[in-house]
Amino acid sequence: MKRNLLLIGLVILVLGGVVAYYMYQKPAEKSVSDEPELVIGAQELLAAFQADETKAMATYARSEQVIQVIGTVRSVDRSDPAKVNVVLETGDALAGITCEFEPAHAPDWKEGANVKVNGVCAGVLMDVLLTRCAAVE
Amino acid sequence: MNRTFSMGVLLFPALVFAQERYATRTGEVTFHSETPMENIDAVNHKATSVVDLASGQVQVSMLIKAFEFDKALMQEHFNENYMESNTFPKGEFKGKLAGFTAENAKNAGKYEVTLEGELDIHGVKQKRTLTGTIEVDAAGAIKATTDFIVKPADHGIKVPGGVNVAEEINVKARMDFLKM
Repeated sequence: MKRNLLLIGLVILVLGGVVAYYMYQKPAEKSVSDEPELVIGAQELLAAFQADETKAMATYARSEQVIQVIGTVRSVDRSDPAKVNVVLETGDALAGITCEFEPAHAPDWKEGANVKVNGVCAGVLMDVLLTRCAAVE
Repeated sequence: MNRTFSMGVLLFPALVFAQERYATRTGEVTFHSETPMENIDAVNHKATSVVDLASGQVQVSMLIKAFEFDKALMQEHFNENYMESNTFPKGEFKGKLAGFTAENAKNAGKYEVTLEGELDIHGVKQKRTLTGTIEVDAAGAIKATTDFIVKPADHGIKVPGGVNVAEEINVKARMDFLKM
């Protein structure tokens, strides 16, 4: 009986170790796959950050929170070999929503296209930044 | 002072002195932590920087959540446990550039520069003097690089004992500037 308990304990320990190792080694997602928690327009998102950055961070940029942004493409920049940057129109010439795509996941969008993007919001500098972006078909 | 206003204060004189202002929104910042157990590397492709060569003013800003790691758990711990990026979303450096002027920007070459200012990480500011290099190529493109050490403890970042994070982190930055 004691021996069986020990064996079971050992198996649980080993299994736990395997799971922990797997969790630790799990690669970071380069492009989000989860469903978005909320949907917002590009103009509305920028306005929220301009009005109250702290509140906007708590609403749209929580840890690992996936959001969907709807907007029109202002520009597509493929000059950086590491990232494709799509900027969505906000009505503010100095600020847009920058959507950062891995080149392998970057959509073939053109200026003026109406689009939807899933991503994780990192906050705002001059633009609001959406990372790990995935185009919504 | 909100974000737009504070960046605008730096940018407004661009209307008058546009030819001496350079900026980028895609600066690259990497950091490297080395311990016998594990190395940690992260990269941020979205640092924003503005340089005014007339006054020497420099500002570099980056979003902490834009740092990418290879491992998901590392990225999560970095943001939630160490940097507390929900509370302190940005890292910033504001200072003065010495060793490079608007006149230098007209001539191809390599210039050794210093940046004297304040580094704000995790809500804690430290006065720093950084050294770097600015290269001007034949086409007039300007590239600035610097590398320096950051001690997490200097910025109130608590790393629990037994965790594989070095006491000194190597930071490198590279900015490819465009004239404003």
